[in-house]
Amino acid sequence: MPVTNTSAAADLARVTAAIADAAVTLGRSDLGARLSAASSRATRPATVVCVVGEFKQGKSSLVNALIGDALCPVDDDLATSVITLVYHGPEISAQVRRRRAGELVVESIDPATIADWVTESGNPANEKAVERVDIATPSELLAHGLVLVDTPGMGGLGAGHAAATLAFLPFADGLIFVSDASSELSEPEITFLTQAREACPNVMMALTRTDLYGHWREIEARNRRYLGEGNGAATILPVSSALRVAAEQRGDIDLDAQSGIPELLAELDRQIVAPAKRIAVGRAAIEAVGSLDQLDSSVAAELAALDDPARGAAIVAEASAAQQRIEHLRGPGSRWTTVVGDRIADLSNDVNFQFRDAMRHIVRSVEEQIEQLKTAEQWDELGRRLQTGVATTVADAFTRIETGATGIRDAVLDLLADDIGEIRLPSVGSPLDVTTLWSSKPIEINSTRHGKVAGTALTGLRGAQSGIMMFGMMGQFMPAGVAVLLASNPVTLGLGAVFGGYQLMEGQKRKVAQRRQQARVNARQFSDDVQFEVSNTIGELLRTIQRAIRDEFADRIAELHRTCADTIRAANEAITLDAAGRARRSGELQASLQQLAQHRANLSVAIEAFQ
Amino acid sequence: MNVVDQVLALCDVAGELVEGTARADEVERIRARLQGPLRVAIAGRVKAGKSTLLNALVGERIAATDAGECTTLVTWFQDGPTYDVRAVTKSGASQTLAFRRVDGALSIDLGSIDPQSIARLVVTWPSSALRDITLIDTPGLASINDDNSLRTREFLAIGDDRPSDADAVIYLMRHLHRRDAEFLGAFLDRTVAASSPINAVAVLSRADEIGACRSDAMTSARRIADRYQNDATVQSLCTNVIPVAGLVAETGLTLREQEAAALRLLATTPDEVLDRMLLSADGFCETMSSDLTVELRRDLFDRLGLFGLRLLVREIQDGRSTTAAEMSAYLVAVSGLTDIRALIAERFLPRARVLQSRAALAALRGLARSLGVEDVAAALRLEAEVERVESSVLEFSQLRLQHLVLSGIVALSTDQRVDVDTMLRPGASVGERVGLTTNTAAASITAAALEAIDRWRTFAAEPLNDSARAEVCEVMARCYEAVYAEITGAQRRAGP
Repeated sequence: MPVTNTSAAADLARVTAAIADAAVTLGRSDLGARLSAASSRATRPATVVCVVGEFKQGKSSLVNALIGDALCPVDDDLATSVITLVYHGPEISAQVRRRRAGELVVESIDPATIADWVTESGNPANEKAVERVDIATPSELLAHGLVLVDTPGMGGLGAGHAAATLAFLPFADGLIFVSDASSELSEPEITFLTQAREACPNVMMALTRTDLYGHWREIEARNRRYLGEGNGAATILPVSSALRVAAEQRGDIDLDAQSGIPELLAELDRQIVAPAKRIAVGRAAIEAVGSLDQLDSSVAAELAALDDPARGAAIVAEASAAQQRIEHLRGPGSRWTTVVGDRIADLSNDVNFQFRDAMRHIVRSVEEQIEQLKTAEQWDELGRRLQTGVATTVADAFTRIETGATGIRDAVLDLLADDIGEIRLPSVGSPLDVTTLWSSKPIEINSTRHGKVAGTALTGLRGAQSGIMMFGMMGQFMPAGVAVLLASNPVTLGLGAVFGGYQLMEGQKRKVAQRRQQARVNARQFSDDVQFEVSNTIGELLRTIQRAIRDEFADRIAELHRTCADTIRAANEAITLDAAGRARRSGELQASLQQLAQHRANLSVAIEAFQ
Repeated sequence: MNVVDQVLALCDVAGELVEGTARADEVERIRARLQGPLRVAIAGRVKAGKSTLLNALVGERIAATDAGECTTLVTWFQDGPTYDVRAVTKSGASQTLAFRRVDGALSIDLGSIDPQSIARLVVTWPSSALRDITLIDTPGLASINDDNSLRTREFLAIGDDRPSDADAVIYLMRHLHRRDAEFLGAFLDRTVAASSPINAVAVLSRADEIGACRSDAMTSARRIADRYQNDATVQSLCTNVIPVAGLVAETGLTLREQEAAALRLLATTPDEVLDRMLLSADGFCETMSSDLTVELRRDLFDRLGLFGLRLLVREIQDGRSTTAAEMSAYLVAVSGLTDIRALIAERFLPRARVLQSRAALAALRGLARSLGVEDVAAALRLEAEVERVESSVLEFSQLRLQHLVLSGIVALSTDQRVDVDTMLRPGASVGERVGLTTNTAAASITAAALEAIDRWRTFAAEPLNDSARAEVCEVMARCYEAVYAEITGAQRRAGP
């Protein structure tokens, strides 16, 4: 992976911001707003990094050490039980997203009381139905758009289930897998890591608590051997959160270096933040080029009309024709809105069908396996497999929706290219390149950092503005019901343990049959519950996506429409001006045009340097 | 006739039935086991500190401990007249092995034997600590090295249709991981003590590290242990959860005079240097400004950990400990080892005979079943005898009662639970069992017993009882009857 040229990226972001200012000066606040958003995304792309691992390995301590503040509750005993997002904000504040009587409510809470919401003791078995806790903090680290996600650890009796965490991973840009230096990786940890890597291949491992264990180097070497085998080696970074805290209290740089945290931060930047930035910057560049064309148009048209009234009239005619064609694209009856509606319906059918089909297969296979069960372990194992299988299916459904949505945007784009492809913005000369209007793809499609999912829409989704948005969407659309179902630990198929015994009497055999029957009922019930929740959610999500696509394209069309309108107005005004006014106006416009040309040149240089 | 005698008599019957066949040895094994010491397995996940705890219990560093996974074979540590190490292969052959001691720890040379073929290592070690119990060190569960995990599972007979070789288990965990609960559940399921939590105790091992080696780490660990102990899931798996800092205990029992001297020297280090040293492992071992050599510091760290070092330095600086003996006593007291020892003495040993009898009965039952293929009549006879003894011995019923109550299968009212706990408290006198004192007059005890028999018979007769609850109430009534019989029997013997 190419290391991002940081200064070139910063230059590009700066040029984009300058063009945004120019747009506002030229009276195009709509384009200005879009560009400044793109520019700020380019400077601080939302990058989601999940901190995952078994419970009591020091995940929350690590998050605290990274942000330099003890915001996530840390305790010898109690484990984090709710997904917690930590991102940048002007001051420390916290929000709880939870369900109350089926409705999603977002409440602000006192940051001092976070433990009441995210720990097992404050919120046993998630009785408060918390989906997520968001913490904003003015941490230096997060100022560049990094979002850290503290997850419930796996493996504890009361802690969340791995499946719940796994379902979120396709939407993360990177993972920090946490395991402490007391012992080498265990078999459940390796299993989880293997699954997690499939969902999100960008993995770093933090070997925590190196302060307590004198043998951490040996443990590190052993883990390296395990991780080196199989699908590519992951970086292992030995860290000590306690030393980092001590170093900060004492202002001791040596100690800080010993803590390993600075190295982890550097690696985080190199592996996760920088590539995300690269993609966001690339998108900003595309938007900047497209906006410049539109800005040029009205200025150049007015100037041309000033020079030659006859040319002015021609421009007005040309622009009016373009405006009329664009007019056709507005309103609910236009071809592209119909396409959006149809394609969303198709997608809905497809996703629902696939989802139900996959669920049916899972349930069927579980039912078959119930007949073969003997020992208690097998029962629990099957419960867990059911849960993981369902979580993967749910995640698949959402991924499919995202891929489908991108497909729809591409289709609309093609359609619009036909409809307005030959529209020539007056005086720019070249046909309008529609693709510059809608940046549905990042500049580099061949970025393969996401391994298995590379080439699918997720690549673009993850890299662009989407990280936090997608994560939020998952939070919002992963219904509390499903989250709770997946987090329940594990799915109870029934009491398996009782008949694991070595003696199986006749009476017990009958009991076994009863239990198996009960287990089948429980598995069905679980699957029904999930299907009910998820089907509702799929519908809701698709409606939201449809709205989002419509709004976005309508906005772009409105921008184009306005460009035409401005051009017509400017040309008409130019024709009516007196000689003195013309000279003055001409000077102003020349200056603007020169300024825009300068921006265009800067942009080309920046893009060149960036690529 | 007590339980052991009854089962021994049963062994005689079985011996006659199988005399002259290949199964005669099996009966002898069952008999030997019944008369031998209690077998306690120490199990847990990888690096839970099993060997360290074993060393602490024996009071010697005999089992090897290391940063990596180091116990790869099931190893028995038993008392005996001479030092001896032998390997028992899966085919049952036994072979003496050469061994030497490195820093006290045994280094066993397997010679030309294929480790895969070894069922267990048996270390015979003259030690008073091993007189009543044989300790069994097991490879870690949930190890990446599947072979090791498998050996422990095989040994504890999980997933196999035969009773376990262990009478009781000390299960080590750092936090209660779901795998731990599964394992304990499976173990209980498989052992002969009626699938019961009564022969399992959970140890929160490496307790010092749970509290990040802070000076109050053990208090914190105790709080966690208490929480687990009150957890219904945990209660159904084991009777007690106790925190033990194994390394501190082990070192406490084996602290050498020269180590004490090094520690005294360490305590004189200037505060600002010492503060840095006690911040982290690397800080302690790698700092340049210490009077102790790097090797010495590494050894000290390996022996005490950050927690032991922090506590001892303060202890020495405050003048409370100066000699090796004082330091040892302090470390042992802090480590929580006393609790686990008391638990073994008070819980495991009194029950040992009953547990072993039960194990023997189950083994005899297994024998009867395999005998069925060859000699149906003998098999039926043996099966019937086993059944008779099993149902007639009150201690077995009590074990089952305890199991039903402790595992939460039968929920009792608070008053009823008090009755049960009082009745079954290990080592209680007759008077204490009915809730009175040892010195209470016989008449009051019989009156209390009669009243309790009535009460529990009434409970037992409630129409809404399920079979388990009815059984619990019946057994309680029988327990009070036993008290009554004991008092009146004693009176009769004393004569008018």
